[in-house]
Order: sequence, then structure tokens, then C-alpha cells
Amino acid sequence: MSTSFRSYYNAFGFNGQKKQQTNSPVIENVEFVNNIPDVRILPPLRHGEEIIAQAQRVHVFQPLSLNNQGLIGELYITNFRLSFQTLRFPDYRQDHQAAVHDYWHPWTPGLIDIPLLSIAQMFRLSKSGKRKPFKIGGLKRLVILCKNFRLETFSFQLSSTSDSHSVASALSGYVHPLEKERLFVYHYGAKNTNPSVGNDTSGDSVPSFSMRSDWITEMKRTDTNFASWRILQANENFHICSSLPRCFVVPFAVGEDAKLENLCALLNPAEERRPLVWTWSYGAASLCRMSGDIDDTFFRAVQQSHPQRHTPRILDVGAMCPNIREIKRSQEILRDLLLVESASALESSDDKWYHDLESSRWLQYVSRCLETCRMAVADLQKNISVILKETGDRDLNCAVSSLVQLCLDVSCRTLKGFHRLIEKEFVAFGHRFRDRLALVKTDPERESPVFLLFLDCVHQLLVQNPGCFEFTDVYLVLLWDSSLMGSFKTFSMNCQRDLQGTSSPSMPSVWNLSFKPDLKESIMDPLYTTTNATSQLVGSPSNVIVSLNSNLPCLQLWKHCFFRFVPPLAVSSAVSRKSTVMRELCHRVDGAMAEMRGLQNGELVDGFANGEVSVDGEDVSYEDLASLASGDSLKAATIVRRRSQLLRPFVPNATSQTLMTFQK
Amino acid sequence: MSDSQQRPGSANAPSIPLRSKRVTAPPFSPPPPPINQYSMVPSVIPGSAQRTDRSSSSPGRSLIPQQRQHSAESLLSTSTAHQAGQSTDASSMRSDRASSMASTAVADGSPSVPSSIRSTKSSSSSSLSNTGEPLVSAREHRGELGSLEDAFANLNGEEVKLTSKTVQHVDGSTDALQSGVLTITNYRLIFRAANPADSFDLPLSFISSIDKVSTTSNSQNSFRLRITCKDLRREVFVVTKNADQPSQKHFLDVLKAHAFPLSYKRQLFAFDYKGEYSSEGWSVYDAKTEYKRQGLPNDMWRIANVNQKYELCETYPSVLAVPLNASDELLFGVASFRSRGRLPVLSWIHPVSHATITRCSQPQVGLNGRRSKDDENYVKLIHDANPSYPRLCIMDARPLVNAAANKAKGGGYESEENYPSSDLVFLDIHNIHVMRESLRKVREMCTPRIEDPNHFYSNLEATHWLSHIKAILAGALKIVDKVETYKSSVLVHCSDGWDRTSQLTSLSMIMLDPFYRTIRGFQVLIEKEWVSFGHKFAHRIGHGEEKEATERSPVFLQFIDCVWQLTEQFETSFEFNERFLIAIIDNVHNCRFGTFLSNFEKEHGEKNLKVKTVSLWSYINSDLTEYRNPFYYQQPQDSTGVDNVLYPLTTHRYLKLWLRYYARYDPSVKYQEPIEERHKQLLYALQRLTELRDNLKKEAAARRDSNAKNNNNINTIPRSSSNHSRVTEPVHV
Repeated sequence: MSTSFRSYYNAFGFNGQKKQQTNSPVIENVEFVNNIPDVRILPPLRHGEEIIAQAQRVHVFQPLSLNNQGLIGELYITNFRLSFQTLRFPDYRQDHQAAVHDYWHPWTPGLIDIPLLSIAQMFRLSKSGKRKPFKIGGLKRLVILCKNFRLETFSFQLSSTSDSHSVASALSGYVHPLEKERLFVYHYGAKNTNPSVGNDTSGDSVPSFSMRSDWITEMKRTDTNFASWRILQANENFHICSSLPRCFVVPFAVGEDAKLENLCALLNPAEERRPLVWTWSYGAASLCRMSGDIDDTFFRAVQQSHPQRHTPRILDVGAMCPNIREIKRSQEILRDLLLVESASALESSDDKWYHDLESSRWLQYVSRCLETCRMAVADLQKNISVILKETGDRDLNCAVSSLVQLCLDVSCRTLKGFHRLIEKEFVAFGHRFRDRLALVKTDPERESPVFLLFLDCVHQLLVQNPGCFEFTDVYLVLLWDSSLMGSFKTFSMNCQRDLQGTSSPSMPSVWNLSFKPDLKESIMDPLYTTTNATSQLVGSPSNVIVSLNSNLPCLQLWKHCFFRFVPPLAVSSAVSRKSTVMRELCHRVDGAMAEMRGLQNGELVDGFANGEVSVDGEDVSYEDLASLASGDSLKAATIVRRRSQLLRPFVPNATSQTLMTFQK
Repeated sequence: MSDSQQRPGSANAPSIPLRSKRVTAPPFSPPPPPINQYSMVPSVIPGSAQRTDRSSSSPGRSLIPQQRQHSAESLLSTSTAHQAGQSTDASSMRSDRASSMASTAVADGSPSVPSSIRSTKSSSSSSLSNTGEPLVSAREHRGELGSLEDAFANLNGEEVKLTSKTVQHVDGSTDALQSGVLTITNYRLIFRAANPADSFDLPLSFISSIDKVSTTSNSQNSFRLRITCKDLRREVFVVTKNADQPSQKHFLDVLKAHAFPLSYKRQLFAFDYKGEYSSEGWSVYDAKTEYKRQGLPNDMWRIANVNQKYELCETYPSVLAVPLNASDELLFGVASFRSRGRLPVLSWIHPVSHATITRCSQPQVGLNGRRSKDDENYVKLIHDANPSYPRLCIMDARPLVNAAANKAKGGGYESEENYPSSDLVFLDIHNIHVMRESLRKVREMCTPRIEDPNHFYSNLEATHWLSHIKAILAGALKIVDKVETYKSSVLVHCSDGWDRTSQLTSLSMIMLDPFYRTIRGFQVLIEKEWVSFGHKFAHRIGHGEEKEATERSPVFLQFIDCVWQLTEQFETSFEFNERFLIAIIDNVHNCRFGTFLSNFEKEHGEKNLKVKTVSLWSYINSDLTEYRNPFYYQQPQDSTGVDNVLYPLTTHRYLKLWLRYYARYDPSVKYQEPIEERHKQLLYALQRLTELRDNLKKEAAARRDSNAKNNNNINTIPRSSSNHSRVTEPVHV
């Protein structure tokens, strides 16, 4: 077969059976692309990325099509991702991609680019459609379930056995690697000669909290009393506590380094002898983290650090929040709910959706985390220090501590501040990203998407407080994707000690991820800057404290994250007109502000005296304001285009039959 | 027409007052709300303004809780300070707008506040009480109960019937007793507590039932009274015996007599109410104008006046659109075969394909399989009127089982043999009794607050409320798909053609025709498909009746809920917002306006409602600021096709319980989209900036003049006056 037919066609009959011989597919349904040489489209490769295996004439099926519609192309397995390439993707794929374009990660630009480490499970599919365990050998059909709620089905029935064999062995070798050195971040690091990718040398890089200076900055930023808290540097070789950074902050009253070492030696070795650490101050009150039952010495030391000697409050995060097994179970149920294979399954599961959703308990867990955060915030506002207590201090403590700071600390709500927050609370304090996200084959008991739960909590804050955060939930989704790639040092380690002896400066950091301008626009919330700038002017509430409603019925399922890869359900918010209206309005206000400043500085605009002052190229008047409210002044063309995406949710087959999806 | 609609709102838009008193030391205080804006609103009733003045001069409660909230102590309890600030703001803002909406909260002496705001009143109070914050200032504590007695503004036509000081209100969430003064007028029940946050109003026509609940303690001297409302609200009072006060029996008698005026041979409040508005709501809908808008009459359809005296069909409007070739005799023949004479007539016609949506009641087939040649011919005429598609689709809203069961009662459905060019589809929507029961479960789930939040979703599923919503939306979507995609005409009916049929035709018309998504168009739609086609509002709501008849059913509420689901999915396609929908549904329960008081058009005329009562639309249209959706985007007139048609997702994954309506008395539920609030703030900011710019401009001009006169160097002159530089100083971008 030398002709390259790459088109959307119906290769198989209804039961998934082949209609005809392998090498002569159904002619009438095939669009032949003549006169095009059989060029292989190689995926653009990154530093250190190598193609491990490839297979030709592979089908990828249309989502929800019961695996009887699809398109044909070449499948590449690299040491980073699985990439499916074809000359032209059919409309349904492109429509879907256009609808959720904002959520497309820059490192996986293709329509079907799946980072190998984001794969949760792989199955072979038997002829009857049953899922069988994956094994090395010739593949006929392959189902891939991803941790970020994506499902893709491939068929190798038209490709050669050797091709599918090599794909199977490549996948089995790279999907759940046995040792951490096989993570892509190490390959990238080894090949990368440009250290600036990993370590931003400019002044405003995200601190790693491994150096004394980082903590000094942080203590100064939060107005912390250096007489009450002390930066401990004795952990240079991680001998006091292996999961803590080289430097961390402890109560001054605990005493000298040696005394602390002795104290730590008495602590529970199962919890890595982790001492109490300071993480943030709110006025006179402090936020501390502690593993397991608190030692009396530490407790008194925290009390003494408080200027009024208020008794600190211990919040048992471990008891109030779900544990890691519960979170994992919850996400698995949620994933099974979302990853359905056919439109009819989607439909039949719809009637018990609420029951299923509740049985996953996901929203309940989100609610519990937010409630814990709310209590911590309430205490801190009463000038009471809070000690977050959790066995190990490496999971939910990270989430709750971050949430508290997001609620109370304005600077954490900028993009930079959010980076710093995650770097401190999750990365420096040793959240086991590698284990929890199962990037390397680990004990299934250790796997748990704590980070996703945290991101969902942040998402709820974003929904409840528009304009209070510099970033949008698009960014949170991209962060979740980034964490599953194993290609950023931020999310590939269990603690800072893991970076010892590696070429860490050349490893990419997720904070240096660069986005295309249009994506950048959907990541940043224009409302944030504008609201901040105008808050004094209009006397609107300042953004010092965000409000927080932890009541479960008021929480929203994170549709943009969870429904992203289920085409009929994927509706993008970032292109919604609501945000377009807001964006437009923000531009106008910004323009007016700029003009005001200009006037204050005496820079008289030329047309100014003639009364032709323009803002953003347009005259601002009451009429404009009014028309803005009704939306007349907007560029109709873009709106209409965007609306068409918005109005007609993507349907796999835009015939009326499938419009009937989800109906009784 | 859209232009003329746009105007008044546009003029109002920039002056939306966005005050918040939470800024402690602003460089300049935000301007007072533009009161003159509202004083133009004719809904201010003479006399009430006076009262407002008086009450607002007494220590208002609006400021105090806000400032307390600002101390951020109670901030992060389940509700938010932001929201509380807004609510009190809003109430003070609207204080000069006469009481208007149905379930009203009167707390700070402002006559009344829209019900949507009422919920946040309670939210602020309970969030405060949660944290043990005293809500009321010491000054207010000193207030005598006696002074509370007349702390409300009468509506025009409202009279006080009874005042009692021995009635205590039981707080829904804490079960605490609140003392106060209870006043009953011919319109509402007013409770004024010593703590203003606990005060509230309750229009009497909301009351669905009044029960005495036996209590364990003090049963000799007092009893508990549970008032259940049609909007899922529930209030409990404790009535104590006291020599000085009206007797318990008298109290109960007065309450019942005014809550259920029709059962006690009185008239509804709407006939007493004499509100005056700038807009005339009764002229919103005119059948002929609406059919003309749709392009009728045309070469296939005519406007028939045969029902002028309601002889053809008692429950139909006088003006009907029927196929051109259907003679009046034929119409009578068809009517005799259809249940209650509700023959198929046109609801909507597609402007391009001329596919139609027609509505009717079930054919009287019966067990013997009766046929009517007239009816079959008439259906054929409807079919022939649309040459674009060879089949006519008959949508029977009922489940097949119910439709078949109706044969025993003489009803039934069209057999495809007798109507050869038709396809019959059953839409599986259940009857009014199932819906009523479902809403009862929603009430139990949401009142007084959402119980057991961790099982919220399974409780929700058990109510089946959203399953019914889904069935209705899916049915409407099927109609839309037939009409738009297949260009097929659709005939819709259920049993009598006034409940499910109205839901389906009106929803599919909203999805198909952008006109009905405007404020004006939506009013036309309700007047047309619901009021004039005889939805039997009086029976379905049970206005003024004590007996809870089985005729009652939340059919119209379901329709509004479906529209709300659409507005959630297509947030820019509707000119109106959620408050508009809540205002409508509240006034369906409220007997203040005449719009929803009758069962059908004939009765409407007989009662002379247009003369004797005020239309709801008069009230709503007199000030639309509150009801506009700031994100509305109007399609260009010439654009046709797919973008004008809404195809909602009818999956449960996208349907939501309308918490801001069903659970609006739950403190944890926000009353407004925060993003909408931000939008208002930005508009206000832009307005401020424009003002500042104009000031600077004037200044610069003046400076330039003086420059010219004095021939001075521009640099020696201060760039701007100290006043303005101070004003603009905090503006840092």
C-alpha cells in the first residue's frame, strides 16, 4: 500500500469487526490523498528526546465512538511521550482541540501527544471489547487511560506485528519506569547545555528555599520577628531531617542547633524525625507545620514566639482532611466516571450521575480541606498561632498551609507569589511528587493526587473570588498537566535531597514554562490588575482577604479540568463571552487609568484640548459605557466565531442523531 | 424595537452605584447613590417616601453590621463579608424604591427589598451569630418595641389588620426564639424584631398552609404555628396567651382570612393594590402584533377570529393562527374531537423554512379508537403547510404508559395509521402530581437550610427534580432539532395541553428564536404561551385558597428553572438575569399583580383584571436596571442560522440545582454571581475615571486660557490643583 490515505473513515463495522481485508479498507468511505508522497511527519523533538519506537498505519479512534470510527497515521513513542501524527486531523478532533485550546500544554502541542508518565493504565482490548492486562508482544488494540482524565484507543490491525511489538515494549519500559533516573527530566538535564532553562538567573527567580537568604527574604516579607524565630542551617547534609530543605526556620526558644538535633533524635523515626517548622506569619501569629504528635518543647517554644504568649492552636489536619488513600480512591472513582467509552455509556450513566459523583466523595474532600483552611484562617485572624499537624507533614499539610496563605496573603495570589508558595509549601517541605503522582513505579499505597485536590481547592477560591487572583483556572489545569510529565524538576522529586548530585541547574523548572501570547492571555486574569488598580477609586473591597465558602452544595465540579477530554462535555470557559466582556472592560479601565496618570504628569495629549481624548483608540463616553454593557462595541467577527464554538457544544458527529445524546 | 429597549437601560447603566463602605479611609468618599435616578421611578408611593425618610433618620442597621464585618472577625465563616456588604448596600440603595417584590425583607426601614436580597440579610445575620458577634449596636438595643410597630411603609391599598406583641418567631437554623412585633395587613405579615436583622416580611399569598404544631412545653398558654410557603420557605411562630393582646383565636382567624382570602369570601390583594407605574404592562403583549412579528398571516396560515367569544374553545385566546385552508366549520369539527376543545393552533413559525410548532390537547380516541375525519384532515393541513419536510412530527409529552392509560378516560394519542404522514414520539415527562411531589422533596432538602451537605447529591437525586428538568429540556431540544435540522413541523400535546405542552413550546421557542431571550420577548412569551393559552395559574398556584388542592403543581416554576439552566449554559444569550426570573416566579405566587390571577384568557376578561389590577410587567419594566444581564450579547439582525439556535447540554453533568432560588434562605448560599458584581464595579470605576478626566480637562483648558493671558511659562504653573492630584493619587496601576 503505497497510497497515503489519511482520513477519517469507518474502518470497521458496528461490532468493531473488520469489514474487509486488511490491506483494502472500505473504499467508498476513504478520502484518498493523491500525489502526496508518503512523508513521515516526525513530531518536533525536545532536548534529550529520542524516538524509541514507531508504528505505521495505526488507527486512533474517535472518542465515544464505540471504536468504530477513527483515523489513520503514525504512532511514535519517544522517551517523553506518545505522539500520533497524521497529515490532517479530521474536523471533530480539530473542533475539540479548538474548544479546549487554552488547556493545551505547550510541551504537548500535538492533537494526540500524551506524556508517557501521565498514563495511569494501559489495556489490550479483546475482540469482544473486554479490557485485558497489557503485556509485551504483538498488539491489536490498545486502550490508554491517563491520570488527567483522558482516554485514547489505538488499533494496530493495519500495522505490522513488528511495529506493534516494538511499541508495546517501548511503552512497557517507559510508562512506569522502575528508577527515577529514567524520568525525562534527567534526559533533558543531561542534554541541556543552556542552564537558563532550569535556573532563571535574573533577580526575580522563584526561590528554592534551600538557602538562608531565601528564608531571610521570606521572614522579612512577612514581617517576622527575628528574635522569635531562627533560621537553622545545620541540615546541610540532611542529617537532622532528610525530607526538609537544607535550611528551615524553627522557634528561637527551642535553643541551639545541638539541642534541636537532640530533640529531633527523640522524635518518631517513622516520620523522619521531622521537627516543627515555621512557614508563615500573619501579624504576630505564625503558621507552623508539624508531623505527628507535638512535642511539648516545640509547643511551648511556639507559644513563646508569640509576643502576647497566646496559646497556639493545633489543627489536626490529618484527621480533618481526607487521607492519601481516600484521595486516591476518590480520584479513581472519578476517573472511571469520566472516562467512558461510548456516547451510550455516557448517556446511561447520566441518570445516576449525582449518586456516582457523591460516591466518589471528591467534592466532599474538597469541602473538608477548605473547611480546615477556614478554621486556620479564623484562628490566625484572632491573632492565634496555628500549628498544622499531620503524620509525616508532607501531604495535606502542604495543601492546607498553602490555602491559608492564599486566603490571607495578597502576594500569594500573583503568579510569582503562587510559584513561590508552591515551591515553599510543596517542593521545599518535601511533598512526595514522584511517589504521589506515581511517576516511577511505586507501591500503589503511596500514590495519591494530593496536588490535584489542592488545585481543585484553589479553583474553588478562584470561582468564589473573581478578580482576586492574577491567574485563571486555565493555569491550574496546565500546572496539573505539567506535574504529570516528569519533565520538570519541580514536580519530579520527593524532596530537596533527591536533587543532590544531579545536574539540577540544567533541569527545566515549571516556573519558567513559556506560553504563547494567546495562551498567556487566558492564563492571566485581566480583572486582577484592573480591580486592584481601581479598588481605591471605586471604593470596592480591597483584596486583602478572600472569602471562602466550604459548604459542599456551593462548590462546583471543576468541569474544565475533568471534562476536558470528553468532547461533548468539553466547553471552554476561556473563550466564553462573559470573560471577553470583562476583558474588554478591563482594557478600557486600564486605558483610562493610564490616561489619568498621563494627565497627572502633565503630559497633555494633543487632541486633549479639542476634547478628543481617546482611551484605547476609542472615545469613552456614557454612550460607550452603555453600549459596552450591551456589548455593541465589540468586534463582531471574533465574537461570532467564538460564540459559534460556545453555542454549539462539540458533538462527535454533528448529525441530529448524536444531538440526541443525553436524552432519555 | 430592540433599539428602543436598549435606551433606558443604557442611560441607567453608568450610574449603578457601587458603593462599599468597607474602605476605611478612602481618599474621597464614594458619591452618594444617585437618588434622583430612583425618584423618577413611579413605584414610589406617596406617603411611603415620608416614612422612608423617617426610618432612615433613625439608626439604620445597614452600616453597623458592615463595619463589624469589615473587622474581618467573622469574615470567613460560611458566608462572606463582601456579600453582606453588598446586601446592605443594596438595601439602602433601594430604600426609596417602594416595596415591590414579593417576599420582602424590611429591616432598616427601607420599605422593602427584593426577595433575592432577603436571603443575604439572613446570611449576614447568621454568619455573625455564628461567631458570637453582637449584631446590633447598643443604640438599637434601647429601641422600644413600640417604635417598631409602624416601621414599614404601606403599599398603596395596604391596611393594617392586626398587631400583636406576644408572637415570637423561631429562628430556622438555631431554633432560638425572637421577640418582636407582628403586624398583619391585607397584603403581608410583617415581623419586626428588636434585632433588626431578624425582621422580615412575608406576603400572605405566599402561604401555602398554616399548621398548629403541638409543643411539649407551655402547651397551655402557647402554641406553635408553622407557616409553609409556596416558595419553599417555612417560618415558625410561637403564639402566647396574653390578656392585653388579641386572643390567640382572633390572631389565627385574621391570619387565615387574609392568607386565604378566597376561602374566606374576601378578594385578593391585587384588587386593592393601586400602584402606579410609568410603563403599561397590559400592552406588552398583543396577539396580532406577535403573529405579525412572526410573519403571519402568510400564504399558508391565517389569523382566525372565530374564537372571539370563546365559543370554539373556552380556554384558548381569542386570536388564533390556523392553516389558511381550514374553514371555521372545520375548526369546530376538530375542537369537538380534541380534549376540552383545544384544537391544534400555531405557536411559532420558522422565519425561513416555515416549519411550525403547533400545540393542542390529546385527541379523544378512547378505548374504542374513535376517529375524526375533520381532525385527520386538519392535521394534514398543518403538515401540508410546511413543504420542506415530508413528515409531521407529533410530540406527545407524556410517557407512553400514561398516554395509553388516558384512553380509558376517553383520551389517547394519534395512531400512525390514521395520521399517515406523521411520526409519533413520546417525551416521557411526568404529570403534575409527580412534579408536585418532587418539589416537596426539594423543599425538605433545602428548608430551612440544606441538610446533610455531604449527602447533598444523593439527596438531590432522590428528589428527581433535575431528572424532570432534564426530561423537559431534552424534550424541547428534540423539538428544536426537528424544526431546525429537519425543517419538520412539530405538533405538541400532552393531556390537556396547558402544562407540559406550554413548557415544551415555550422552551423550544426560546431556543429557536433570539427574540424570546430579550426581556420584552420573554414577557411576550409568558403572556402568549402561558397566560393566554390557559395555563390555569389560579389552580396551579392556588391563589387565596386554603385547601391544598391536587390541582396545584409547580409547572411554571419548572419552566423558569429550565430557562435558568439555559442562562447558565448560555450566559451571554439572554438579556435578563437570574433576578428577573426570581422576580417573575415570586410574583406568580404573590397576589399583588393581576398578570397571573386567572386560569385562562376568558376568565381574565370576565374578572376585568386589566382594569382592576396592575400588570406585573408595569412594575418590572418601569426599572430594568436590576434585571439586565451585563454579559448579554445581541446577535446582529442579519445573522441567521445555527448561532441563533441554542442547543443546551441536557446531561445531569451540566444541570444544577438552582440554589439561589430554592435555598435562598440558607445563609451559605450567595445571592449573586460575584463576577456580575465585579462588572458593576468596573463600570463604576470607568464612570469615575471619565468624571475625573473631564475635570482635569476643564482645568487644563482653564490653565491654557490663563497661560494665554499671562504669557507665563507653563512650567511655573502647578500642573493640577491640589484637590485633583489628591483625588487621583491612589490610582496606581
